[in-house]
Amino acid sequence: MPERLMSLRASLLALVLGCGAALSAQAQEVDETALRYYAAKGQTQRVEAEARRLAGLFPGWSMPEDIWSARLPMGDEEPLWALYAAGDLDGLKRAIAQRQTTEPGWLPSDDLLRKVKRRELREQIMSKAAKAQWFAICDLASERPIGGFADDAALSWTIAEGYARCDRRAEAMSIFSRLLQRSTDANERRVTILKALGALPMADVERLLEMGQKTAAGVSEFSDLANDLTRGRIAAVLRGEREGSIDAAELAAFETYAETSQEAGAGELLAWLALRENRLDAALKWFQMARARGADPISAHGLAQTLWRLGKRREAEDVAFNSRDAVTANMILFIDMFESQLTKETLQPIEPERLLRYVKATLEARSGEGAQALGWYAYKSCQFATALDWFRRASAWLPRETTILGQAVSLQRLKKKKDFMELINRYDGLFPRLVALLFKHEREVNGGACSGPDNREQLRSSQVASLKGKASTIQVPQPGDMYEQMVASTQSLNAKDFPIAVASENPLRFPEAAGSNTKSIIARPPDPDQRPLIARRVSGVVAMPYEESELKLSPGWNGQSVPSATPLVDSAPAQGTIASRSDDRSPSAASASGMLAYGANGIGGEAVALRLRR
Amino acid sequence: MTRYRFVAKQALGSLFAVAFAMLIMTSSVAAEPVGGDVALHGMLPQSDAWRAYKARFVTAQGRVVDTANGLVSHSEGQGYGMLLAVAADDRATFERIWGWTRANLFIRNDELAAWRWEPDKRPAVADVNNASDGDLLIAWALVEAAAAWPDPAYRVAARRMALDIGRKLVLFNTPMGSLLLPGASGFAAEDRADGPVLNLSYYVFPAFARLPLVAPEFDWNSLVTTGLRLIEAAQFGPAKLPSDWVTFKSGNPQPAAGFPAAFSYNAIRIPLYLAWAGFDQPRYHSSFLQVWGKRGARGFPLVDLAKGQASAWAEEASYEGIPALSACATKGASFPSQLRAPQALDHYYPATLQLLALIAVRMRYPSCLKD
Repeated sequence: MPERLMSLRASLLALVLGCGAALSAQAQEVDETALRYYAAKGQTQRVEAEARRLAGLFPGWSMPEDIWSARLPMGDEEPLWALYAAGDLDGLKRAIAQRQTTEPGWLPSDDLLRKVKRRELREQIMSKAAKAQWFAICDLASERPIGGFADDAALSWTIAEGYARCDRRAEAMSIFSRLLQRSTDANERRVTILKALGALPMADVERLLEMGQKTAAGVSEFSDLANDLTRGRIAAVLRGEREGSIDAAELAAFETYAETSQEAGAGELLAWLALRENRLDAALKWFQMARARGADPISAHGLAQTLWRLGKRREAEDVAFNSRDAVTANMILFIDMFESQLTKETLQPIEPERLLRYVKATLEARSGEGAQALGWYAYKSCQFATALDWFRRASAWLPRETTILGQAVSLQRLKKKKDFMELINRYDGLFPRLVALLFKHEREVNGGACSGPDNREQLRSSQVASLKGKASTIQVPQPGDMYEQMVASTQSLNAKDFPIAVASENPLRFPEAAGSNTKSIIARPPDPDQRPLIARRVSGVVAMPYEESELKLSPGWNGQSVPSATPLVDSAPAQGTIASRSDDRSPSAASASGMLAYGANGIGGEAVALRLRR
Repeated sequence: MTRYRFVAKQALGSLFAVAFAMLIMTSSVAAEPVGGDVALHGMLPQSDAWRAYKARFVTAQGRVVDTANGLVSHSEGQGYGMLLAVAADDRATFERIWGWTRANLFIRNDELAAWRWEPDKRPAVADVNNASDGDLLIAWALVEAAAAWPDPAYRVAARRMALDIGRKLVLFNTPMGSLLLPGASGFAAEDRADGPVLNLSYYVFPAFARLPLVAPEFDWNSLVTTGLRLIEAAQFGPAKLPSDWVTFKSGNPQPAAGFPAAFSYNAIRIPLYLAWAGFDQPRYHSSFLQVWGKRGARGFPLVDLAKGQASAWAEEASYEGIPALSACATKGASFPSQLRAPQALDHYYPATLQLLALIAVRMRYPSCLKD
């Protein structure tokens, strides 16, 4: 909760405290004693006159339906009313029960019963509000007409907020409107506007404001709420509820306030507005000012976004990295920023300390995105063992096709044919671009910067050299010492490699799973002979590369026999979702960055002529 | 690619501004997000119940197995397992289930899980599509894990999932409110003649109260208000019950074509999620309680909605956890003692629902366990 930004809360509190005395006086229910007295005596004219008086005082009030039928007190109720006045409802109920045992046949008056019920309802509603149980408030308020509470502003605010939060805006509006029609207390009227600001869309609040009075000079009675109203209007812009921006004069006045006050919240709101409207210099200024005044931690996210969009990438990284613990969005932003940096088509030299931060964030977040980016960067830097280590982590955390592809080509480079084949067999039927590694009929010409003998982890990058004008070395840190060099198989590919039966589960875990002391009784021991060699159709996957000529897959789990025309993972988001909007059209191929790296570097695919066993 | 990715991030940046504005604007009067007050952690303290569940349904690798259904696994089951592990304060098993889930189901190009996985198949993933309830359950479990055992990795994964749920699976601000598509593909208006088709049991109400902790930029509460309204509107046939799959193509919801028009194994979770989120008002539960009142010797009826009569029976005793939860929530009825421990022979699905109902009682209606 951004405590320092609670100026709305603060002004609300001040107003409520300021009008405390008036409120507590007015929180009484409508006094119908005289009305009922006249009715009991059958004095019709006096009843009507009193009813007119009450209706004038309380616009929401109407004549009780039981006015002519209500049961009168049977004897003295004074002690009971004293308990009622003292707010001791439990004591009152006990007293009623006791009197009924000592005076069989005795009943409390309708008036007392009604008032007790009303008081109970009020207490229930206020206690639900304290627990933010707005739906319960809506139900309670719906069950009984609240006309009798028309003069109880605090209760009315609470019920109105309940209605607003359970999606019954019209009813909320009518309560706020009625309060403005009825109340003559200036503070109560202002609180009504502030309460509405917290509960209703700004467009509704604007309608309430129109109900306000103006001086002869045209000054609104709510003019001292100007800053709060501007906040509401900015919020409406940020929520996309308001066309256009804020009136220039109004915005200028709010900016002056934000500059001169010591309050961080105003500047922070201006910063988000500027960022949304792509006024990046202004956004930077306001974020920095707000942060100097102790803004909410979330402002670090806005600041990092602003710096990034201004092209100040190093500063954006600094802000995001330093605030990654407090602001999860900045951990993610940091990872996404370096992911884009590491998976650029051309290899960019990155200082060791910066790379170390990437490593740190990736391991802290156990991020598949970060690990695959480091994998591709290591791969392009010809550090294939390191690349494999990172890809193994990425495959444990987020085994997308491009990540598995990265793992596969790293294995290929390291000549770990057995692992390479196991991987491809595991994902046969699911990842066509991975399986395509087996079906390149011509050997790729070279491995780009990494052609020639693999010098392991200290290879010179000619690309980097050309960029920097001198030879330089890229050293991607390894994630750990997990990697053990394995003896590379030099066997050529044949039907013993594909298709072969492999375990269908991905066994990779980082960190390694702790040993379980529970015995699982349902784990069926896998029978390698039962494992199919023909892949089945997977819903949403296109044809496997070998299907064109030789083999069709077996039917999918739902009987589907034909492949998808397009990969489901690349299909357009459903119309009407945020992802489908023009300002958020993100290709779902999130790790296509990996493919860029892969394509750019020209991996040497094995030449295979494969006969598939049936 | 990189360029496009950042377009998305920028949009999310402005979404963040929305969240921020909402914080400022609402905190003056609101104490808490709706129902966001109760944490799951530690709500399943009976180690025996959890130990028995783990032994029967969770493999050593962390796969939650649907024992009645060819030993397959679902994203939903993984989510349930993760929730139960947090409730049981069993971080090692949580890690085991989450570790399997991400290593085997997160094969899409986004932050959602493939919904179906079958052992001994080539390949094991059966369908690349997601199931929105599975994603909601996993993301919610990650939120609860982050609350129970502070770890940036849980928060990051929860937020990434919540972002894609909010971006790709929800139609906000439609004339009918906020619609949760059952999957990223196949259910929208452009996908089906009777689309959008929804599954009201995918509205995991208690999750909507907790996801604002990691992704406050989305109006999760609008899914609550809409879900409640849709459930009240989807009362079909003489029994006035929702079907598992409902078309909302017109303003007048109907059982969706191509699915049995039945109140069945999906929809029985609706009262579970309602009560779990604190919606105990009788009007939400009355038609469910009424049909459960007609239980026979074989269990409680699954209803053919056209006829309003039983078409099958939920036979396993663990299913009784949900009627017992509804009765507890609406009438304060005691939660039967035999439902506080696992039934020895029941399968994964009823056994899971029973434990979830027990947790819901403990979280929301503990007085139903006081005898």
